[in-house]
Amino acid sequence: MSNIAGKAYAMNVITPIRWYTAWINKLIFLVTPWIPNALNGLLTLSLIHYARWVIVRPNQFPRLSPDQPKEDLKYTYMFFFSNFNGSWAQYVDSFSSAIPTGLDAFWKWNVKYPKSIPMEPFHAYITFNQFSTDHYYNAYPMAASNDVKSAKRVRDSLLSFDLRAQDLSPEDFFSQYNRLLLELQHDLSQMDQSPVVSLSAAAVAERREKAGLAAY
Amino acid sequence: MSNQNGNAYGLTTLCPIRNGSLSVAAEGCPAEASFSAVTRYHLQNLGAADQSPMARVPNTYLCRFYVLDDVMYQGTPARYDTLKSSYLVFTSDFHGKLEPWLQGMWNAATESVRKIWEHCVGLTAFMMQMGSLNTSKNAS
Repeated sequence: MSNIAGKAYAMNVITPIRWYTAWINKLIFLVTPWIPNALNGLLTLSLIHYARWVIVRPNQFPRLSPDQPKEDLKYTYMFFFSNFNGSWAQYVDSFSSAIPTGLDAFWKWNVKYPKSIPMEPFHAYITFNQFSTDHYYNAYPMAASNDVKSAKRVRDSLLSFDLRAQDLSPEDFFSQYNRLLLELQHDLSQMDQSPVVSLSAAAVAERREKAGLAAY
Repeated sequence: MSNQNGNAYGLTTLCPIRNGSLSVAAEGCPAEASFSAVTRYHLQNLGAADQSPMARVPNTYLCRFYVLDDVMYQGTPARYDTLKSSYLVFTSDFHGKLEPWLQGMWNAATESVRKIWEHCVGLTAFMMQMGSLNTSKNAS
């Protein structure tokens, strides 16, 4: 059981929403992508591979057999799933510091949500409502989200360069290729383990080493 | 609101786990272990990284499993809520469309899928549906 796979951390949070305010949350999620710059803070953080919110009404919990008891829930539930880089504390603190109004907009209607500032009650709220992952798979465990973005920049730049370089002389090709390398220097590197960011990550690394497994 | 964002699809599933327990010790679990406990034990003992059965599933970026036994009581004045079943929560972020990905998961990790969802409600009907999908694809 681990919330960690390589550089990615899997966070699972489930929080109740009063059924008569759940529609407000759905509306916020519906319109946010269309509001200019609404997600800029989130994008700037550059920590996240994927994140999603799923709102499940009481009658949407699947009942697949008459033998299965019918749920009798008083609240609607918001499921939050995130795949991010870094430690739990770095992630939660980053959100709280960078996009407090965004967090409050998404969680405001959840029961007993304490607001994202001050941080300690917010930390406690997330910790209390977090569920551990039983199995977590990451296809590219050594790739942080910034590595993925860099790879995309390298690919796009190479494809563009390939088109431009078709009719260049060897000297011009050499010169322009070196310029390309200069422009991509921040994106070219080997992926490797990040420095230990948390006791959890250290424990995972130690366990894998004891088992004779590669770091990842 | 959409499950699709560009080429990426975000799948979220809740699968109810049967109430009840093993009649005899099995699968590394003691007799009378609940089906949710057995499911959790199995998930926690799946191989990690490239040994994970999900590593064989094409176009998968990230995925996770956890067993949800109950929701959290937030404390007064919140009302007390409880689930009558446990749920196997499975999420996946992958490239492409849903049905081809599901078919790929079934084809690449059939036995692992059977094992993971073994104690979920409605598994037999699901497997029959997956089997018929596989048959129709093979016939086309």
